[in-house]
Amino acid sequence: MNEQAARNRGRTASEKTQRIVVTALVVVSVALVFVASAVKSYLPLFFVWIPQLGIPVFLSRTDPRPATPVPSAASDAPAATPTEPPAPAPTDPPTDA
Amino acid sequence: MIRAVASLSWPVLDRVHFGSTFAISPHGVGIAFGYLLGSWWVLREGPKRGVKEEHASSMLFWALIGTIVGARFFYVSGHLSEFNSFTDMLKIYNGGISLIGGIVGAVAFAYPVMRRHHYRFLQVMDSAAIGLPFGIFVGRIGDLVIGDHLGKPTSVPWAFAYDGGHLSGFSCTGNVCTETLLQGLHRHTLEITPQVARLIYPTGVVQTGDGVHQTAMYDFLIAGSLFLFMYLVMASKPRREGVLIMTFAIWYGMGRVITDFLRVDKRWLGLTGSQWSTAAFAAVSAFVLVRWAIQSRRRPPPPAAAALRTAAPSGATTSFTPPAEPGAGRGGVP
Repeated sequence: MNEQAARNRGRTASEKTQRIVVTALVVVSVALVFVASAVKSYLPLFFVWIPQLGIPVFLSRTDPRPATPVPSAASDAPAATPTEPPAPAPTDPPTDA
Repeated sequence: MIRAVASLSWPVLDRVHFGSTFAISPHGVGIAFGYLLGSWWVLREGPKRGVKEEHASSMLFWALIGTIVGARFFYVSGHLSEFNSFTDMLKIYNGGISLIGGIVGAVAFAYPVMRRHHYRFLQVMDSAAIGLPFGIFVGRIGDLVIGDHLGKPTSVPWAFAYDGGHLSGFSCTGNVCTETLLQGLHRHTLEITPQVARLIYPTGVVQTGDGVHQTAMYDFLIAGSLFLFMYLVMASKPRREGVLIMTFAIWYGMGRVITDFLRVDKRWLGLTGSQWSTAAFAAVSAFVLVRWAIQSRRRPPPPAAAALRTAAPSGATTSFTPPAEPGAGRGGVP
């Protein structure tokens, strides 16, 4: 139970970081338009694509990875993916045959 | 001095030339980049809503073709008098596309694929609800670079003042750029110089300002704020299927209805084609959302849904709708 709560806390913190970074990158994107106006050049407009591209790059790196199947003879059960509801925890830990 | 500091301006760049025969439009690059990054969101959000990644990729491929066809078709339909032949209509590289047409075309071309894989329409559209504003947010940069969608003259502090370069759709001589818009027998003329902007109406009335409304920038800000709202607020907890895409339709639709009044564009019964279509989508979406809200107040939630709601973790970022297993027959809208 404590382990589950700790995991949830970690997950929330990670999501909070993601939200802050995404918001910051959006703000930087908008700010660069005003920079273009301030320096009277279209070049900063091309740089807007950098923070915008940074959003998917950052989220790809920080999104929780889907569980991958462990190459073990102990279990033939498919790994849980984000598209599937988590399987109920087995009552007994799997043992090697 | 105050005006110089307050107003927005930069030299525009219509094309990036490579040699004498080849050129790339930043507008096109923006659209391609916007579609690419918007698609990334669909591939991220789709699996959370039960849409398999390979099916989402297939839908995105057909949606890309639909975007090109729809964007051009809607533009040509609304500006028929600008084209002399059918071949001219096909020359998409000369410019002239409609964003709303692109979205409609994308949905129309992707729809058969989503039905073939037995997905629900709103299930797939919700997967695109964050990607759509993000794609527009990215794509509008191209419009800003080329100085597209310049609107009516204004002297507001954020007016866009022309600062050199060839404005797309304008004929420029020295520092004076002129665009003529024919609507039936009526002729509007928009003249922009670094000092002043003038719009001459068919009646002879002249509207002047220090600059013009940069409506592409308004759209950029609307899409950016909508993206943040969808990402930070709407996707932060489980919601009924369809709520996300209808929120997009209402927010973006109302934004376009308001900002299109500032555009110099062809109108039918006082509204542009984009205003008619986005107003219709926004009205239908608002009607459905209000209806659902009233229904949910009248009816207590079913026990299973209530149990799910209590069990949902606080950090859940998306609504999890039990996926209709592809090939397992049609799933009903919950």
